[in-house]
Amino acid sequence: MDRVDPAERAVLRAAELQRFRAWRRTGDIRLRDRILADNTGLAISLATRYRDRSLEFDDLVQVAQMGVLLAAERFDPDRGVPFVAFATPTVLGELRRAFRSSWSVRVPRGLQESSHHVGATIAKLEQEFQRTPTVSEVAQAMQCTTDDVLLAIDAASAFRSVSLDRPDTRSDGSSGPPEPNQTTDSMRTDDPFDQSDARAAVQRLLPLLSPRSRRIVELRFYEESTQSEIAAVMGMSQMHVSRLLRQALGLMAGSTSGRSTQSDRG
Amino acid sequence: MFATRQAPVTLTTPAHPSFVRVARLVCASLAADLDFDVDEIQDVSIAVDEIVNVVVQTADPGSEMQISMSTDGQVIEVDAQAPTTKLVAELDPLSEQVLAAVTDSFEVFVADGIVAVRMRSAPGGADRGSG
Repeated sequence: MDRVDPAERAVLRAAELQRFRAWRRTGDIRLRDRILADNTGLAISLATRYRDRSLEFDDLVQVAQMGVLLAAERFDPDRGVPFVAFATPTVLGELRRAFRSSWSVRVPRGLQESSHHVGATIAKLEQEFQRTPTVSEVAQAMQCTTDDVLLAIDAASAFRSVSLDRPDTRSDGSSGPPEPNQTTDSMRTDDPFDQSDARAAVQRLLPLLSPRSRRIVELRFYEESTQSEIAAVMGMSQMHVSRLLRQALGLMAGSTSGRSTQSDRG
Repeated sequence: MFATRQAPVTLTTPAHPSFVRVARLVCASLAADLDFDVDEIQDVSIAVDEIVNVVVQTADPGSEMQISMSTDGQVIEVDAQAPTTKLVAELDPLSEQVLAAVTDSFEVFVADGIVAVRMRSAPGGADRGSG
């Protein structure tokens, strides 16, 4: 990394503090994105400390970026602490949490091996059939039961869930009975306004993801490609696409609603 | 084969995130019986994950949720519901976008003290083999 001279660093820090203040004042999400972009180096640097462990480096960087975002949301630019110093413990905490909840810790070794084997078999059958195989075809090829295949597929995907200790909160974040001015909610997928609102909201979250995960989310949820089609485009296995997709959803969910992104595998 | 069954499969569990996996696995198993391919089963799993999460987040603490899964041999329908004192379901934009992408249709509503989320999903690969 190039060394930045102290005077230049002071100017950069002052500009960053100004950006934080402007973001607080205006809520302009582009300022937040600029802050995140400016701190990509911090995320990469901290993710590097955990390299060569059980999680892929791109995924680690993504987790670290989420840590930067969480820190940015809590950072007070007027307390005289540089953002880097403030953010580092949060980012390291997010990285450690990712390892704690990663399947390498929580999924029995036998099931991990089954998942790898199932993934390889799916890839082989895709080549052979020129289409995505069914579960019974995978089970037949592996000489096991369909339940074994389903368990392995489930274990291979980092599904997301709400926090186990999530408090009961209302829409304004407070606890208690429902607000009297709320009306009965009914939402259907054929409402184009609801869909466009959701689309816009999710678009705002995409910059939080690594370029690879962002592309996968776009392909799946906007261009409606199947996981196998994405795997072919991205040059990876379908199981890997599945895993990245679930991780991306977990990270984005944590940002939209303050949900914990822990796995519900147990 | 589930395709020949008429009655829905219904699970009753605490409205708690630790039961999301049970719902997901049961529904994935039903989809496998219908010869959904691996991609389609993952989509059903994602959808069940989302709808159960919406119900869990909206349900009253300590309440039970019912997850009912049925099929006519081609299409899977899942209905998750639980009692709630909230008047609006906790559906975030991400869940909405995800459900729109991975289901054929879905609806979310709160009425008469119940939060309910329903989804419908059919296999897209008409050219699949007989398995």
